[in-house]
Amino acid sequence: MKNAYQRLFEATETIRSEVQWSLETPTTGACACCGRAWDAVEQADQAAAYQYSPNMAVEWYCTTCKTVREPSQRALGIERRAGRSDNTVDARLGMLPGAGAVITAHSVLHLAVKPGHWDKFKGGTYAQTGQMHVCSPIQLLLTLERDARLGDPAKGIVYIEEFGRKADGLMADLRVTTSLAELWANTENGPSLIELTRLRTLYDRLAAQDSLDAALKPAFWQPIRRAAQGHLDRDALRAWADQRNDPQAILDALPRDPKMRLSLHSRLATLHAARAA
Amino acid sequence: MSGFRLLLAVHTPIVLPRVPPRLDMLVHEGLCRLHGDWSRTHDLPLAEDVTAGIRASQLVFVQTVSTPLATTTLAMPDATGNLDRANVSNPPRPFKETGGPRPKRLTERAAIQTPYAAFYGEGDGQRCAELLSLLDGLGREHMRGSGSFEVIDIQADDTDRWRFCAHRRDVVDVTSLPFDPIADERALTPHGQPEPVWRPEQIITETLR
Repeated sequence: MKNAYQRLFEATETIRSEVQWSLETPTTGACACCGRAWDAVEQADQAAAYQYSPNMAVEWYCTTCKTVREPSQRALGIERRAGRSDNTVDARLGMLPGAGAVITAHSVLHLAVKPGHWDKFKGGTYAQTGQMHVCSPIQLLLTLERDARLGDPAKGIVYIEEFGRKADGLMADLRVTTSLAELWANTENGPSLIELTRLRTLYDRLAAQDSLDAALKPAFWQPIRRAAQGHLDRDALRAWADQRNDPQAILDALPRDPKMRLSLHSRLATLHAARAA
Repeated sequence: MSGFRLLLAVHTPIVLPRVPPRLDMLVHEGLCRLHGDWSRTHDLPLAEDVTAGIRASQLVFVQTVSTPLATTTLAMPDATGNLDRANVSNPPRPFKETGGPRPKRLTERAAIQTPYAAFYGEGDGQRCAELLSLLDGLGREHMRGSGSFEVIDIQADDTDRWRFCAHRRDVVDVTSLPFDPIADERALTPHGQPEPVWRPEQIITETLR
C-alpha cells in the first residue's frame, strides 16, 4: 500500500516533467514543508530550495512538496496575468482555493474544479486528458467509483477536499484513505474524517422511510446536532423519534464521529446531488 | 494472564491522532518513562498474540445515556519552530492568525468530549493501570492538557474485547473479527515495523449502563 505522499508524487509527474530544479543533498533534518525525514521522502537525498520571496529564508523541500508549489502552465494553465499582458502567473496545485482532487489507486490525479477554474485551465494537459472535472470533490470521488476508475481503496487513494492557499498546511499531514468507511478529507487545515459508508447507509435508510427530503434540511437534525454539541435534550429527541417510522434504524446509521453529526444535512445533500448527477 | 477492562474518567477533550491510542503503546510509553529509557523495547505486562501482536485494544469511547459523545474545537498555539529571523519583515508587521507568509498562530483541532474511556487487554491489569498513571494524557496535545484522564476502575473481562485492535491481514480470519475491518498498515508492537493489517474504525463506542 502506498502512502499519500507517494501517490501524490506519482500522480504529479506531468508537472515535474517540464521543470529543471537544482536538487542538492539536504543538510537539514527534514523537509521544511511536510516535516518528513529525508530518508522517508520519495526522492531521498534530493532537496529542492524554496524561497517565498527574496526577503525570506531559503527552505529545503522534498520534491513532492516542491511539486505542489511549482507553477505549471502546460499541466494546469495560467492563473492570472500581472502587470503587462505578457507577464503570466502560472497556476500551481498549492494555490487552488475551491478546488480539490482525487488520486486513484493507479496514481492518476483527477482535479475537481469550479467553472471559473475550468475557463482558465481548459487548455492545460490535465483538462485535455480528461483529468479535470467541473464538480465537487465528493461528486468526483463517487463518479470515479461508479465508473470503476477509482481502483481498490485498500491499495491507497488520496482525497483532497480543497487545496486552499496554504500548501504547508495541506502537506504537513496528508493522509491516505484505505477504505471508504473512513475517508480522509485533506485540506489546508489538516485532514478530517468522513464516514462515507455510514453516510450512504443513512441516506438509504432515510430514503426507505420517505424522510430524505426533510433530512436535507438542517431543522431535521436539530436534536442530534445539539446532542453532538454537548446539549442533550431528551424531550426534543423523544419528539424527533416519535415522528420517525423507525428511529432506531436512523440512529444506528449515524456517524460515530460527533463532528460529522454537525453537518449531516449538507453531507446528505452533497450525496443526493452526486447520485442525481 | 487474564482479561481485564480499564475504565478511565476523561477530564478534557481528546484530539485523536491518525492512529488511535492503543493500550500496549501507552503502557510501553509508561515503562519508558519509568526507566528513563526510550531506546529499547520493554517487556509489557500484556499477553502476546499471533494475529494482533499484543492482546490490547485501542481506545474505546464510553458514553452514558445522559452524556453522549460531543465534539468541540481546541485552538492551540502552533509550533513556532520554523520561524526564522529572516521571516520577520522590516519594519515589523502585525502577525495574522489566518497566516500569510508565516505559520498560523493558532491551530484548530477537532476534539471529542467523552465522560469515560476504556481499554481492554489480557495480562496484568493492575500493572497496566499503574503505568498509565505515569502518562499526561491521551491523543494529540496531551502535553498541553488534552486527553487528561485517571483510571477509576479495573474489572475482570472475559468478552475478548481486547480484539478491537489491528490484526495481521495474512494471518487472521477476517470473518472472526468483532468489527467491520478496514485495510491499513500498522505497527503491531512497540518499535515494530508497519505491516498489512485489518483494523477497526477510528472511533469505537460503547454505552455505560
